[in-house]
Amino acid sequence: MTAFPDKKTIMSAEEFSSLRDLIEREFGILLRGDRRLTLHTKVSHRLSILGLSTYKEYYDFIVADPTREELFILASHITNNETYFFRERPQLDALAEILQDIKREKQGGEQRLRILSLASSSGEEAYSLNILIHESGLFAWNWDVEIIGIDIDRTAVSKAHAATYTANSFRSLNGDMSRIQRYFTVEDGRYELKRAYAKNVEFRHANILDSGLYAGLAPVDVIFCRNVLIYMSDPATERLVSNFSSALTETGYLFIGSAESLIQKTNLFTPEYREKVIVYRKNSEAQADAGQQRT
Amino acid sequence: MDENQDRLNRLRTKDWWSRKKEIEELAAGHEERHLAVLESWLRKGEDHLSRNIAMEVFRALGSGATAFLVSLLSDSDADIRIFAANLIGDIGDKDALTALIEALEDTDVNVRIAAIEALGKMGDARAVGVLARRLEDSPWSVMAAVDALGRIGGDEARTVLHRFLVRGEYRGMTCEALERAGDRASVEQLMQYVGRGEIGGLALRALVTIAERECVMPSPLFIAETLPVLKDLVQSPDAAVRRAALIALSWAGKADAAPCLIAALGDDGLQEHAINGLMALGRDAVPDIIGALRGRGGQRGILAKILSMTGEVHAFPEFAGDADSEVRTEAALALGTVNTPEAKALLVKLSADPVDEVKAAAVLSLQLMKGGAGNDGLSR
Repeated sequence: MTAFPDKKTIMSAEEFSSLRDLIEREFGILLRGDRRLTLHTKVSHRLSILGLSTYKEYYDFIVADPTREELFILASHITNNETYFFRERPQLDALAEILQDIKREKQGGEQRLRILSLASSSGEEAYSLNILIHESGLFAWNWDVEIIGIDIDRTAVSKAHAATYTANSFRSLNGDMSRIQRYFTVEDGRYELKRAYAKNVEFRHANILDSGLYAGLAPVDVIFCRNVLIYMSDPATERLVSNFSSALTETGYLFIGSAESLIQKTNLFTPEYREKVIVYRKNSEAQADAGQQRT
Repeated sequence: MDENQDRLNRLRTKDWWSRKKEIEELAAGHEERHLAVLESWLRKGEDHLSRNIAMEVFRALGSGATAFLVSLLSDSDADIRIFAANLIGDIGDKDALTALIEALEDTDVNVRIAAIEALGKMGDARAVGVLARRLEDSPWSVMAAVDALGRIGGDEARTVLHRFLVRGEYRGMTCEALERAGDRASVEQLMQYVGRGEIGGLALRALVTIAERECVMPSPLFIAETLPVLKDLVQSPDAAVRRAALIALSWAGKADAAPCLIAALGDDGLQEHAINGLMALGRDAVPDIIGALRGRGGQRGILAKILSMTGEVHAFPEFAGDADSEVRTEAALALGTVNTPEAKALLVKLSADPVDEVKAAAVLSLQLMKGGAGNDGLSR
């Protein structure tokens, strides 16, 4: 058996604490327990590329970097980019119903639909939502439909813009080639989204915890932020939820992961039970109270 | 309607957030005159809302309600005695210890069970002796007593629990209690029950939890002997048992544990242990890591990194064209240590990669190659 350096020689407890606290402070992401090996396997190549020898040097480099670029690179390596088209179908079915409600509510008003896909990774969720809207046929004429994906990982955002995938991104479709071929050009194992289905979807590189981000996006009708809160600290969840509440329309909807819950964690959203899934609806009264308390 | 009644009625709102605020305000004021009303709400058997609100308020009052609740332990209604015991346990005021011990002699078995549970929640070691005597009571009382001993912990409670492991019908419960209260000596006690029937998984779970908490590891011989059992338990429907089995496998140092460890890389809660186990296996894990990289599974960046750390850099040309940019980055860094024309050609290609990080790693490796100062592939 090869003798490896143990975790203590790879990264000291102090180095781990510094990086862990930095990640939590900046992005709200909690690394629970002693995750030195995990952190090392995810970011050690950055030390090689930057010509640094220790994680203390890496930490110092990040905090001294005025562009914050390395901070975002660090975050991009510790977040999970696992995603695929039409993930958690029951939630998407619930959205299909909600789209009808939104269309009804907006009848005679502004014909504009805006959806956020947060932690959008390589774009599979945002494009799935766009396909769903297209298939609903509800917003085909004179509607301004915009889906905005936001992610911390610049590489993932580039991949999302490229909109070219492998079979792995379609594992929930169980080989339903007819649906795939309707929207993608398939060649040499590469699946390229047809341009017509990408034109009203855009992606941005940003930190979803940054409240300034939402000022330019509101009012938003629906926010998808799935499988993010499980990695977040409680204070970060509160900040995030407050950002969502500010960004959404008075009757806006929030989708979080099916293993996540906001029940009894905030009064800014009210759970709404739809067949098989819970969707969160903005509680406008609570938002108004919070606003008054702030002023 | 007077102000007090109005205030109490406001508690009955169905909005959880409003009720929480009202309860906090009421508890902060702590006025004894409210206790009788709350008691009457506790007695409203069919009105669950009233009963729940009363219990929430009593809890919020804390030790200020202890004396009143102790008096309810003598109530003629067994349900009220049960509620009182539960609330005393939740509040945890040790002034009620004697009253709870007396309640262990209650004629109603459910009151006795509630008192046992309350003693467990209170966590006072003075109750260990009386709880140990309850281990001969009715089955539900025994289970409550085992759980309570686990919550109280300490040397005396542990000794009782170690001895009680012989009682097969309660062994699962005892393992769970030891998971909470066990120490190094408990690891030895639990080892003999790992893999034995249905509770083998619970024994393993307790053993691993204690071992992690106490920073000890069972003997390599024990882990080697239980390897087949661990491989079974890693498929358990119980997530906590799966976690324990994986952690034990990470200690095993046996190559046939590698597939289980690789599969666990995708589980956020197990990732650290899986990496630890694969790193401990070193080169013995290489065939399985390469097999996984050839497949379409996830966590490819981590697998590539571990492969690099094993020093198996000659495997990387195969993965220089991987779809995952993290694998290509690792390949670029590893290839810098392989001074062959093939490696150089691949690095030249990778230096034009669309992903900046891959490009940077390839350029760095080409520079190292040019300067003849390759690294050993282990320092990362």
